[in-house]
Amino acid sequence: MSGCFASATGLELRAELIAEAVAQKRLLSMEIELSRDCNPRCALCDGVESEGANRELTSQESRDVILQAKALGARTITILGGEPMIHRGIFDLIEFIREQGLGVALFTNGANVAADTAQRLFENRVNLALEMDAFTPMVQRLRAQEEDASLAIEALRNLKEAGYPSDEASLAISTRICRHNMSEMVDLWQWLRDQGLLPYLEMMPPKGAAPASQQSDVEPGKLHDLFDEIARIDAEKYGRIWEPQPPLVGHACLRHGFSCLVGATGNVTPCVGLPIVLGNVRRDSLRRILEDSEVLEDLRNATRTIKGPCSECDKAGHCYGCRGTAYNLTGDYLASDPTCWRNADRRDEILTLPVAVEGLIPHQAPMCLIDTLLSVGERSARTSVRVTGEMPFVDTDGLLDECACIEMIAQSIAAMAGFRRAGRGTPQIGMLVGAKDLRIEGPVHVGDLLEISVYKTARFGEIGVVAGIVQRDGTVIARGEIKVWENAASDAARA
Amino acid sequence: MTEQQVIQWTNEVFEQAFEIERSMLTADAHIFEDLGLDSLDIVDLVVALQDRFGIRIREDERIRTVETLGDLYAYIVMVGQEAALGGEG
Repeated sequence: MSGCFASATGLELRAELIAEAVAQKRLLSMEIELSRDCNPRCALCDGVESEGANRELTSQESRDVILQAKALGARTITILGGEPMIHRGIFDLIEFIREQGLGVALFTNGANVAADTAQRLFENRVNLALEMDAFTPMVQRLRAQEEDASLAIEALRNLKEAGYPSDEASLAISTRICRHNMSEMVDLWQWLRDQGLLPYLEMMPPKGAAPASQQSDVEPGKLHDLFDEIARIDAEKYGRIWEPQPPLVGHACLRHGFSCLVGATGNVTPCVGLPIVLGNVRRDSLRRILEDSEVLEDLRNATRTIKGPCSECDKAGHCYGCRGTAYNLTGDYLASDPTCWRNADRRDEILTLPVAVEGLIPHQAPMCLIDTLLSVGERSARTSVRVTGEMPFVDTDGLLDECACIEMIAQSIAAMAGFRRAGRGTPQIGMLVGAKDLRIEGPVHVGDLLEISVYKTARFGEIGVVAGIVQRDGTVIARGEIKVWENAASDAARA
Repeated sequence: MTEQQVIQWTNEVFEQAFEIERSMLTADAHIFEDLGLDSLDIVDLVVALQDRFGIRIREDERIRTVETLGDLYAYIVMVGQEAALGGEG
């Protein structure tokens, strides 16, 4: 499923409106996963298994977060799943959202969209996206169990009879481009235009089942040709002028400036395709999660923060490719989009995690006590190091002094800051200014492979508070808290 | 939240986070000179107060004008009232 839907369904997204939302850290739309329960098991699904109703947000919790989104400026709520139409409370939620004066958009595979439910959706002015990945039954079977393949077609019939599409309630067909349906996309697009339906074609984001099935891979050059062909037809035949850019056909995805996804268990992520957890609405308010998020801060300013070839592209002012694709393929949500055809000859310039910390931190041998940056997330990172006899703080018995753990934690947060700012000029210099609550739970020997996890828990002014854990083979060796100073413009003190 | 509750909770933060005896926690006690906190301790104090009261302090420049414990009580009362009016601290 995709979340870049609001603009496709009529939410007016003027540049100045988005700029205002970005500056104020507000929302224009929000997506919410009603539940992970779903009727089919699609080979192309990018979702995860349901965690069970007892872990998912209650009806009241969902309503509360919708009210929070409204208070933050959201004008429309997009309901995702799983499959939302199999949820018992779907119409209660839709009607609640409408009572708040908000627009509703919903993605469905057509389940339970019988004549009466189609009518009720239309009466509530729900903007719908019906998932249909191709005309041909074969591709529909990739999408779903064979007996469910007819759901979309039956639903489409019922929706049309109910009044869709209309000026009050739009109907889009949501399609993910893969190599099995590529040959149909031009025809599909024209058929949708001729039917008055909104085409919502997107490049397949590489996550979930798709990579394992390898059914989604499409060579960038062919995608470029497809986008260009559809753009030409849309201009010549339908009078719609737009410039091709990934990942959406006919639309620009700049959603991270004004939207977010609240998952079924309350986890907040930038969107469906970018699975970095920013926080959970059961622990913090949505406002606080969005205000504190460094990931969102970077994404809102992607034209300045994006790395590699995308930063030099002449479309950089209004395109940042697919951040989810970049993250899932490189581990870096700010990496250039490797699937963009414009980057096809510059893939070697796109840094992929894990990466050596050399160049990310100012420390050099022998005082560089970490080797590799493994991953980055929301104010968090993991690094690793193989302890050698040449390292300082190693005694004659090959034991590493406990104080080294503090330094490893400090250098890990520095590596995270260095990676985040890579390519953006001179790295900021930070200093370790305090440590507390250090607990040593085991010895470290030469030869041990350690993994260090760090998380920025708080900040005040130029001081950041970082929690760190050092592990060996999953066993905690040390944990503690440090304080790091950097000047106000830098990252390490910004939690 | 009453002023008395603010005083009680604030004092508890100083007792628990900095192991300062309750007898020293008077309204005219200077946070730096009398209670012995330094600039790094202030970070922990802000974090502890945010967690205890559920308010946001760190980006509020007014916190920097606080010098005594009494100033701090008054500040938290004010922020709490603003949060109640605005929906969130």
